[in-house]
Amino acid sequence: MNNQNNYSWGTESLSLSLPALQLNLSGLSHLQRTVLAANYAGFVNATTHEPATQRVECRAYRLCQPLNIPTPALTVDGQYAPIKCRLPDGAGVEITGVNFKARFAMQACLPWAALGVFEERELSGEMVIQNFLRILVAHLVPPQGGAVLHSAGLVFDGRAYVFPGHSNVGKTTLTRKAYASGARVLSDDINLVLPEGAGFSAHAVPFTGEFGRTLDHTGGKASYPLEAIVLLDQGDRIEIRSPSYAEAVARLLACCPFVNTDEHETEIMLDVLTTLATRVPVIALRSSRDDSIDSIMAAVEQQLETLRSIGTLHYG
Amino acid sequence: MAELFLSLCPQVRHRAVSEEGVLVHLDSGRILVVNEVGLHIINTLTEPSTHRELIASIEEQFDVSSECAAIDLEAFLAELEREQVLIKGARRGDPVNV
Repeated sequence: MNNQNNYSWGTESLSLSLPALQLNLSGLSHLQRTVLAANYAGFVNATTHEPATQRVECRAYRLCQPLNIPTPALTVDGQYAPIKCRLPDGAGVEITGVNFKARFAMQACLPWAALGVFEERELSGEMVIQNFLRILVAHLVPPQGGAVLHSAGLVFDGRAYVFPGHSNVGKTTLTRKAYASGARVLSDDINLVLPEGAGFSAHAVPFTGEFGRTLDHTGGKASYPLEAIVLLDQGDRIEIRSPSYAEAVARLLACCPFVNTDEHETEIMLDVLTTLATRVPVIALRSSRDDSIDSIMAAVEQQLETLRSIGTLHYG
Repeated sequence: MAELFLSLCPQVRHRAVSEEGVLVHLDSGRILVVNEVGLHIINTLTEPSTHRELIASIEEQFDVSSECAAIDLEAFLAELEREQVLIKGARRGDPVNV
């Protein structure tokens, strides 16, 4: 990373405002800037999001040679998993993913990042910029009391429900059913929750999985009060229950990609998630692919109402 | 023969959550929930301990017989070993990976 300026793609820059993050990208070529500005139109130079936004200066640079990382090295349990290691100072992080290498330090006085690719077009491609942003945000929000959850995020009547679950548990299927019934989709893959008032809110982020993008993923900056967290499991029929506090925290932690097994992040993630689970109801849902979204949400609402009536909506 | 000391793998983090415990294995990525007795054993294993010490500690804490404590302990330790959470050392302060 020495003499980064010598390796810049160009002299253009772009500012992306995501929830909790203002990323000032510099060293871009005209092509890179144009494509990024189009793909993230609603997040470009947008009004700063609430709550507290962290400004990060990020320099784009060209790698001297292709990475050529074999796919198995970037895969864990069949899922894409960029290689992560700590920089020698312990505060910085280096990420190697498909076609990119990135470094960042979020807790520094002046948070910084650098994003390198070998081919000009790669930088603005979803495999690079979206994965980089996901990882960056996942590391940025824990000190703010927030978390990035591998989950489906859906909004019904202005209230957000987040459905965390491992890959192939049915998050995208659930999202498609909900979208078809008129729900707003925050993401079918990665969602951001941040503390707000006495509770939490779920934020629109430009991260999606198989479901693809809706307007919220290119221009949404809305946040919605988080009504409930519904832990997803597959089953033959709808079954709903309230997990123990520890199970809730453990399963939420399992759905915090990039940070949940990082020894520098584990303690703060446990702090965040134990707080989250005391402020937002957590229930566990087992359902089949054929269950309608109406029946699923009816079961969720009924369980929440039961918990509310007996005064156990929250842990603690 | 000297008694074997058991302790938690240094790559394991744990947190009490209400009466249960959450364990995170940083290497395997496995996240486990243990019950109240399990949490007590995990807390005890933060210092190298022998089977005998663990059984005595369970007996004292949960008012169960030595036999009952031994049976529960063996089952729990076997689970911890499967999850590679446990290390067995020759003496206190000098753990050796199994």
